[in-house]
Amino acid sequence: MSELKGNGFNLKRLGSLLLTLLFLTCFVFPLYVLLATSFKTSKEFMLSPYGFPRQLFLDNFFKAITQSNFFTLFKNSTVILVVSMLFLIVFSSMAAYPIQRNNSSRFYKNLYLFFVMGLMFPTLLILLPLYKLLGFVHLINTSVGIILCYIGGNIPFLVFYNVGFMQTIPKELDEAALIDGASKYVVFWKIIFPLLRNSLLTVIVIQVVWIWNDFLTPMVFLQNYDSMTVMVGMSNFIGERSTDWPLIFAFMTVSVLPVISLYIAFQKYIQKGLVTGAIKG
Amino acid sequence: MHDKNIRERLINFTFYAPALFFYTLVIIVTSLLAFYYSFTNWDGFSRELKLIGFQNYWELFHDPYFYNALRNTFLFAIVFTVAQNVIGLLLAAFYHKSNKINNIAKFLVFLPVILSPIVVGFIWNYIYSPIYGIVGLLANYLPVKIGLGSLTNPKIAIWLVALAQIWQMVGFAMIIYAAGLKDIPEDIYESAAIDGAGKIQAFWYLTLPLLAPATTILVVFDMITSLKVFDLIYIMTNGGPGYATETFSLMIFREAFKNNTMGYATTVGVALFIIVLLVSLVQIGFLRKREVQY
Repeated sequence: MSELKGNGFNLKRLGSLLLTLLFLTCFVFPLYVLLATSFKTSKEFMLSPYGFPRQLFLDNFFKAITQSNFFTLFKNSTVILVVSMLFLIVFSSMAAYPIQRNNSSRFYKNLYLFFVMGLMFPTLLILLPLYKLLGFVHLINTSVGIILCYIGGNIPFLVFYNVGFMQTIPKELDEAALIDGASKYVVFWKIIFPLLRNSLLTVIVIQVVWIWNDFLTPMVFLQNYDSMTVMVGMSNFIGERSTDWPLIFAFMTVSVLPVISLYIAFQKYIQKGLVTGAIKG
Repeated sequence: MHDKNIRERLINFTFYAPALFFYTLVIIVTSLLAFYYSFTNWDGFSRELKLIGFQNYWELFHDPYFYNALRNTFLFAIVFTVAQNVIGLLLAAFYHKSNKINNIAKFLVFLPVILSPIVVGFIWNYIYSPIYGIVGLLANYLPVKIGLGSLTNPKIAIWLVALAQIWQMVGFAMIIYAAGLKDIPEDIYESAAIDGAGKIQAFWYLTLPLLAPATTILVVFDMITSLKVFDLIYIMTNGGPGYATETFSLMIFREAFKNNTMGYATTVGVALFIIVLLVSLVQIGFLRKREVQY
């Protein structure tokens, strides 16, 4: 199989190549369907649902964008994502700092456990009372409400990673700066945080993908046409046009473009982040 | 120990206070509320609710839908976890070397992992659809009843959904195993070959035990996430046909938002939480024993 030696042409290598091609063709097939169908006219689709598109028919994409509140959806998703991420990064790295630096103290060990235990709670259990709480302060159907949910809900994940990453930053750096008279805030923002940035990128990309793809929370909290996110809007769009598959797939293709671009750009980061997390977990 | 003065404690507090505040509010307070609601008969709307003690839990014990959800959830979770690990491991082993083809393969296999469950669900709905889907088209050539291969068949609907989930997540298992494989030094295989071990033997007695930590992580993670799965099933079948694919999360959702029995829904939620906790603890205990240190 992959342990074959030599660069020459031989039967085993050809066999494994063919096997891979067959496997990949089958595996990528759903994605091919998504992409290819977007470029077909309705007629072409009826006649040949699985063939290659005859030409790159862009009408479906135009229709997808104009027939829906596409830009509103994208704007909502992006705003919610960016604001949530900003607060999350700042709050969780700040929280991780005293926890990791004082990790021999029982108080901070318990504080860490308290944060991390949040990973165990199922979203649906939290969602129901959260809906009531947010309704109480009139924050349903607002971006602010869902941003608060995303911040609070993802803190365990990010604190967990931040503490892990900070372990690699030597305490001597802190101490040197503190002796020179710097305050803890200066130490954190001017020294620790810049060093954290690279490792943080791995989890940031993962978190961004999660928030963008999230469906349940926005579906429950953002039911207004104007406040919806891309995923919920897409679900409604599809529901309204149950059989115009070329149009549906065109909409879908555009909504996955941001995530796919992130993947192409940051593939190594995403995978490294997931692997490191799994090993520490 | 640390002899901190008040000022330093205060400074530390400002570091972790915002995160603590949001986290406690959004997760801890709500969970406690949910726990409280599980002892009431609240419908989710009215201002008044009555404390009814353990009545919800009693009802749950005797609820056939609960046992249906239990069966569906575990069936889904176990099939998913086993398939994930087996296929993921095979893929990781097959594409172990870093050459162009293998890298392209790994890129493609991992791609569905970053897609939204909604996208995956809709694409597979199409593939399974009786008219346009694969089965529908095949039905033109083979004497197969259209309904049999689609999501409207209660007997196989859950397997079809599981297949979609496996397709999406197998790349994740693959990269975890790939990382685990990378940590195994090559000379182990050489010495095994000298001792006369064949490739299959080497795999079974060397590779697998050494991959035990990766297996533990994956199995625990897969079970936990698949016990809680919601989005994909909601989009594909919404628990149907009938209740054939209703898992715990779908039952919670239905009880809360369709049946307007919020109190009972939180009861199911608490039950799910306890089940996830128990399953994780049992698994971690069992699997940790398998791990080989060398």
